[in-house]
Amino acid sequence: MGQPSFWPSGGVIGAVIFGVLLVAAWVAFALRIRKLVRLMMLGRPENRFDHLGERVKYFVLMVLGQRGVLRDPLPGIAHFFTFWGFIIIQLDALNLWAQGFNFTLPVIGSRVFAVILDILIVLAFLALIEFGYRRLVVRPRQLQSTTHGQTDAFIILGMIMLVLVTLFFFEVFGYVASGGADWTLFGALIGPAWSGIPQQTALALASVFWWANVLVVLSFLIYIPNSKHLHLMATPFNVFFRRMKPMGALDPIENLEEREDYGVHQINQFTWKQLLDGYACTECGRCNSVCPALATDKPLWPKEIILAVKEELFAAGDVMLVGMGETEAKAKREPMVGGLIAHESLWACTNCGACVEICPVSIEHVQKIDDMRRYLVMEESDFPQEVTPLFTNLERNQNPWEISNDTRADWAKAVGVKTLSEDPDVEVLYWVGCMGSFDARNRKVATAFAKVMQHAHVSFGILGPEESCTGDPARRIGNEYLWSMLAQQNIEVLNGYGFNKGEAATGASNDHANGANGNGRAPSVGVQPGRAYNVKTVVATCPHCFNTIKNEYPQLGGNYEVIHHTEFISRLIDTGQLALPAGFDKRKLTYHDPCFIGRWNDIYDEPRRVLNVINIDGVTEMRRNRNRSFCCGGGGGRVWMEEKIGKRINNTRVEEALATGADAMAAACPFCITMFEDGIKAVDAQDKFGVEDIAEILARALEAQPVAAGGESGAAPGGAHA
Amino acid sequence: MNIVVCMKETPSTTAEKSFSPDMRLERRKEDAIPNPFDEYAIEEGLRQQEKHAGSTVTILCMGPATATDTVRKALAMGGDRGVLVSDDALAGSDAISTAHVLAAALKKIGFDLVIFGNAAADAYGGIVPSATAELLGAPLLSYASKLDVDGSTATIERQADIGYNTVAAPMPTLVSVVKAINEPRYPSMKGIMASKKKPLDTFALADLGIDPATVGAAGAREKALSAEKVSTQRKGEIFIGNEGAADRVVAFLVEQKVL
Repeated sequence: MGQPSFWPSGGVIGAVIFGVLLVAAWVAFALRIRKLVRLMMLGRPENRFDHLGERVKYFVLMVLGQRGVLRDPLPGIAHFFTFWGFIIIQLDALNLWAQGFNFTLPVIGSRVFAVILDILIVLAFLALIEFGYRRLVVRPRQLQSTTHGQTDAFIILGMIMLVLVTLFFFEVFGYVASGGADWTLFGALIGPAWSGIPQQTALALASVFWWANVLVVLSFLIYIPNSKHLHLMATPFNVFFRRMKPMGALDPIENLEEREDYGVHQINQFTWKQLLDGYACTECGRCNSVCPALATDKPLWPKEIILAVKEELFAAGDVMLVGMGETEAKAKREPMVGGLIAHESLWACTNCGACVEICPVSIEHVQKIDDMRRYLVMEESDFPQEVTPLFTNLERNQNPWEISNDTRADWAKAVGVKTLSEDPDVEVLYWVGCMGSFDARNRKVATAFAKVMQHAHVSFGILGPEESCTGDPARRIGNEYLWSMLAQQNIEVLNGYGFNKGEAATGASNDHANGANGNGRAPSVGVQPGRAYNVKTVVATCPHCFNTIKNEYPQLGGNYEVIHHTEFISRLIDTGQLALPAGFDKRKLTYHDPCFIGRWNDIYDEPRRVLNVINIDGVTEMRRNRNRSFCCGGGGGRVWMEEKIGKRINNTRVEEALATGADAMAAACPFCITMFEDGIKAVDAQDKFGVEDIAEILARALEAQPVAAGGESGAAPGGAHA
Repeated sequence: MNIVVCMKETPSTTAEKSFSPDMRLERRKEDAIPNPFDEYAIEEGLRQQEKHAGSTVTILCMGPATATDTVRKALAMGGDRGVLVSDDALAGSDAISTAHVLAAALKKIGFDLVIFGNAAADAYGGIVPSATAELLGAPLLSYASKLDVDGSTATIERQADIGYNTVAAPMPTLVSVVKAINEPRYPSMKGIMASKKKPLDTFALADLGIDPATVGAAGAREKALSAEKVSTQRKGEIFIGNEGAADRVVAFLVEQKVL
């Protein structure tokens, strides 16, 4: 520890004043943090300390590496330098404070550090100019808030600018005052130009800028945790505590049958992590910019939901903290659901996950929305009227319609597909789902996929009347009870046929976080070389069935090897079990990524691989594709509700597909197909455009141009690619 | 106000129906639901309770011993207690016997307002409300599409072809309702949980002082002779294409006297 060449606080009296201010600022800071933590701990417990190794890895990547924000290149790079500039300046601040007491710190006081610091000051300065330009000139839609003004943003930009400027001048005049002894890059470059001024003046100026700098930094300390820039402190924690369980799973309600409250309508019914999401929100608005409901003028602003959670926590949580009873607190404020958060906002959500996917700070919007739906459905029985018959039919008929479930296998007779009750000795269970079983349009898809499997000599069967709705629509709408009843029925049936893999086998794959927020894919289940699938695999054509069986049934002890039919077909092609006539489809074809296999399960490549073989030119991409895909409007139970507000989501997507100039759209989800069939008619494009499941395109190709299939004939793997 | 809603247990509308040799519907427990028409009666009972402070709602059902589950399903919508009249001797009862049993039970329970669905979805006889009223010597306001209770008078609207009638009767009275009267609520989870703890009494014939020989198959004056499945084979005609399809649809509708 050395001594600075001069005492910038101005001597003992200055040091005492500075010392008092320093302690006061830190005390204020500590009190505020204590309050924030206490508010957060009003939330319910939730374990986010699992997978510590992966958490650390992800933290390094996203926080230190800034990978999330870097997806948007220009502001991303600007953010990268602001972030690192900020960190380095904080370290330097420690040294500045030490100088106030007339000593310097090792390392931070070194020349190497000084060079890094000054380079970052310049880069951060340029970044701030870019930010200001973005807010004042570019003004992207997502940065316009309905509830918060821009003032906070400009205060912080201004303050960071002040820190940089005062540091710059302190370094320059410090260099002059010390006669070059306090070496800095700025000092060395610019100092000589000022060498003419008296040393006394230089010393005084250095002291003034030193004081300006420490005062700004100390006021930062108080200002940040009280402003929207709380995110600067909360974000790293939020990223660290991000979801490691499967992204596609909603969290269950614990002890459903014993408890007295369901879902969330009061702020302390969220978990602490859900409350931390509120602190972490930077109000960047990316979620708003990708929300299909908002894009079609529905009253859903995902960002405002998160901000409402924070606002409610500060207002209602404060009252709860001082010990006033919950009932009194409730009486004093209007309820959160129906107050700060409107019912229509909650019902508008398609659970497409675009907001969760794009959020650079790992906020989970969808779980919160569905938690509040749970409250509305299970406590208040308050939901769109058209949902009542859905619930009643799911309860009574195990399907969404007033149709006897005994007729579930009727479609299969025409293609000679047997049920497991007729022949349980099969390798693969085809989970048809309600749409494939009953809906006229989607029965064609089920039939086509059955033909594809028959062509590939896959030993498979269906459950027929033993299959019930998986419960996905009920769960997404908020009826956890109905979901769990249906799920338990299905689990019993699946276990009865020996499909359960047991706890141990799935622990690893199901607990693994899959890719949203760019963490790459979950490892695919191990399959023996040369084989396309394991014995006792469940294949689903419906992404919603697929997602809930794969990611949510484990919550009730049902662990199965489940794959989506696009994955299954892709594997059949890879192993040569299915030989396709390459380039059979001559149309210009685009592909729509269904949210529940895409964003929630990271299946983007397999459908494209299949289409690239079968279609002569491969997939013509829409503007929004893969993880940026735009929902069909049918998820989250929306397919069962009327869409009365704004533009229709399905029409919007159909228009986007038409804009590619494609003749047809391939899809891989019965809800998407239903929504797009409607959308195509609505925009009057049925004469020139159509939507088909990948399985349908394949079945047609196989029928028209039979190719010796793999299996017995032993066609070479990939032979069809020629 | 003491409100009693009469509810029958019926098989789910989509359940496969089968009949015993003596033409009695074979009921499977897993298919049992509250008669869909009675859901409107239950809903109306609950709405009247909400309007008239201090009212109680009792769900009254005659059925097999296992019908307690179905009564609880009704209680999940709301209401204070259930009463199930169940006795082996009741199997095979006709509508008149059912009315006798309900009348006896209603006398025992006591009532100001009794609400029925206008028929049961399984047998569709539709005479139990009027027969019960006759046996009790009480008025019946039938086919109500609107119900108002004011002091000691109940007033209904009854939809007819040319408009609606407004009909009133002094309380205690019986009312049968049609689907237009309301939109039945979906039970909340709170309601489902609460229904499990609500009192549910079971009466046997002896409790009501009814001679077993006068009810059930033994006392039945009606007899079902046969039951036929309705053919669900639809004679669909599909019109395709833009040219002329609209004209053909219009011609078809005119032919069918729809237009």
